Amino acid sequence: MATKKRGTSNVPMIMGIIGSILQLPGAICAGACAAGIGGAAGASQSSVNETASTYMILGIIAALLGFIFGLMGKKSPVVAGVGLLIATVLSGITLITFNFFSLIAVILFLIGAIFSFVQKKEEVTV
Amino acid sequence: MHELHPLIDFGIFPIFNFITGVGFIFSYFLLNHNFKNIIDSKVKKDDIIIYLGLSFLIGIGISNIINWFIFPELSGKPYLFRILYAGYTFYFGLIGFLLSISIFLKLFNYDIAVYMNEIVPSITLFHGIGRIGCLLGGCCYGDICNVNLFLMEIERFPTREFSIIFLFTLTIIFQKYIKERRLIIYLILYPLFRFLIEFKRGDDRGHLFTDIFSPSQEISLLILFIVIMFMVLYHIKRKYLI
Repeated sequence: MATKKRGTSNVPMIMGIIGSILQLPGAICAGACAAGIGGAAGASQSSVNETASTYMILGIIAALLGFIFGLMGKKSPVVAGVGLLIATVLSGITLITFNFFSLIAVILFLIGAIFSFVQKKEEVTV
Repeated sequence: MHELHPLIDFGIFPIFNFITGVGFIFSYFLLNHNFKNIIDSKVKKDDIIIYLGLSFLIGIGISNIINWFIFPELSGKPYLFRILYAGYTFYFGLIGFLLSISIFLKLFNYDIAVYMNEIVPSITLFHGIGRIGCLLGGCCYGDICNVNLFLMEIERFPTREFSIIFLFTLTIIFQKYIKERRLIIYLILYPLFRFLIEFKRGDDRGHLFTDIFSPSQEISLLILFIVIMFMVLYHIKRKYLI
C-alpha cells in the first residue's frame, strides 16, 4: 500500500472554471484587438489575420488548460498548480491586447495556482 | 437575441457562459452531496470531477460541431468563425456527455449504474441553471403570443421560464422522491417536455432530418423510441430468459 498526498480545497476548481469561462471571450477579444492593433499599425491583411488567429488560439488554449488543471486541484495539487501557472502565463500573453476578460482570468488562474500549492494536504493510501 | 428586459443589459459580458460555469460548480456540489449514498472510497468520489469535466468539454465540443451542419449558413466559413457562431445544442451535448462519462466510468472501474443514478439530479440542476443563462443572455426565446394575464402583457411564450420551472421541479423530485432508475425516468420525462415546448419556440431551430419537426423534437422522439425499446427488451429478458 502506497500513500499519496492529495489536496482538500475546492478553490483551484472554482477559479479554474470561472477563469476559463471568462478567458473564452477574452480569447475572442484578444484576436479582435490584435487585428485592430495590427491594422492600425499598417500591417498587411494576411499578417493581421495571422496575428489575430495566434492570439485567439493562445487564449483558447489558456482557457482549456485552466479548466482541466483546475479540476485536478484535489487529485494532483502540484500538477494542477503548474498547469494553472501555465494558463496564467498564456492568458498574460493575450493581455498585450489590453482586454479586460483576460485580466480577470489571469488573476483567477493565479489565485487557483497559489491555492493549489498552499492548500491543506491529506495523506491517502492508494 | 431577445433581451429579458430593456433595462437588463449585460453588454459584452458573457452572461450565458458565466451562468453555465456557476451551474457546473453547483451541480458538482450537489453530486458530492449525493455521493454520500454510494459506498466507495473518497479518492474515487473526488476524482470523478476530472472525468465529469472532460465529458462536459467533449459534450459541448460535439454539440458545437454538430451545429455546423444544422445551420447551413455556417458551411464554408473558417473553423474559428464556425466555433464562435455555431452555439450549443443541449441534446447533442447531453448525448456526448453521457457517452463519454460512461466510457470514463467503465475505464476507471466505477459502478456505472450506481454513479449514473446519482449524476442525473446534477444534470437537471445544471440544465435549469443554464436556462437562467439563456433567460439573461436573450437566447432560446418563445414565439410571439401577446397574452394578457393578471394585468401583465406577455409578448412571447415563456419557454425559458417553463423550462427552468420544469427542470428545478425535476431536480427536487429526483432528490426527494425518486432514488432509483433516475436516468431512464429523466430520458422519458425530459424528451416529452422538450417535444411539447419546442412548438412554442420562436428562435431559429435549424434543420436536421425533416421540415415538420425541429432538430430537438426529432432527437426527443429518437430518445423516447430508444428508451421504450430498451425497456421492452429488458422486460422480455427478465420475464422469459431468466
